[in-house]
Amino acid sequence: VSGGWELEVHGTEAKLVRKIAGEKITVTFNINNSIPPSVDDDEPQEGQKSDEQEPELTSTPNFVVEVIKDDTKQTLVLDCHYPEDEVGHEGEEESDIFTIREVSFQPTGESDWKDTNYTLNTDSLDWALYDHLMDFLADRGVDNTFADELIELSTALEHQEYIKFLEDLKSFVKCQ
Amino acid sequence: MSVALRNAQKAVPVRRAPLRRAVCALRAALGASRFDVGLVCAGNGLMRRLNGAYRQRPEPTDVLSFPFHQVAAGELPRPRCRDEYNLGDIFLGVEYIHQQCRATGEDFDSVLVVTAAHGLCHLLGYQHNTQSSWQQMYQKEVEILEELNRLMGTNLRPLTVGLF
Repeated sequence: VSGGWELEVHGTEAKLVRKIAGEKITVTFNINNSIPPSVDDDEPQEGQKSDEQEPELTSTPNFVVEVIKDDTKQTLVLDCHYPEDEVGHEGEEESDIFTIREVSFQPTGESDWKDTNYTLNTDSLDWALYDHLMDFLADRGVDNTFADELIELSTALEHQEYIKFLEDLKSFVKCQ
Repeated sequence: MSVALRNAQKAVPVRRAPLRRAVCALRAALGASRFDVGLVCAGNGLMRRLNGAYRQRPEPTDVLSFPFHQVAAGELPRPRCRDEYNLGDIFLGVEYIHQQCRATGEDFDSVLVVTAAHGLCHLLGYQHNTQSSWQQMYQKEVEILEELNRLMGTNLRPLTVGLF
């Protein structure tokens, strides 16, 4: 992923880390359950055989952006999602590449989520403030280009884990 | 009411908040604040597809407007229900505009706003296919951009200056 991000991978969880001007930005995602179900057509398309139409499987994981400023004890946490494929390919082209779903402050350095901290749901958020949040992320390198590249990274990691799983499954089945 | 802004492209960085602020101010200057409007920042691929589908010109362009209502220039729509408080959608060809600005040396953010103003006028029935209709549209663009300039301290001029 371009933009000077360091990648750490622990099993199915990946973390991208970047430090800029008094801030540490982390983007965390899990490749499990990250491939949305493909849309099945009711009728096969004319002139195409089903065994030649393998759908392209892309991984579009939810990802969590954490912004930690050096001089505060609070981390700003933004839960981001890729839009679901509701209207098909054409509809996807006209929507945001990713959206912010929830925003919360969490104590820095604590791994447990504090659910007594207020979590803002962007469904009912003022759109001007939402745009400011998106610009805030973009200023820190989390923009549409980043989101697009994250899909490529996640898809590659998912494929890698899938192959490893198949190999492990083969070994497991064989052993007596 | 609301400006539904979407950035559907990754070719060009777009700052959403200032663009929204400008479009809201322009909409107010048109007297249409109570109407929703959709604004999509699009790349060349989407603009090419839309331009081909709706204008039979399969090439990127700077702006495409899809009015919700058919109105004469200078008239506001007369909605019959809540769902009709909608001006329509503007697709801003941000990638195309950015390429143009790189070629001409103009400021991208300024041209983006001026193009949005042009698109808004199209949603309200203004056209520029004849000299008289262009003059009418040009005057309206001058008017709303002057209001925006007054609010924001900018110095923006209409898109179609010198068209006729």
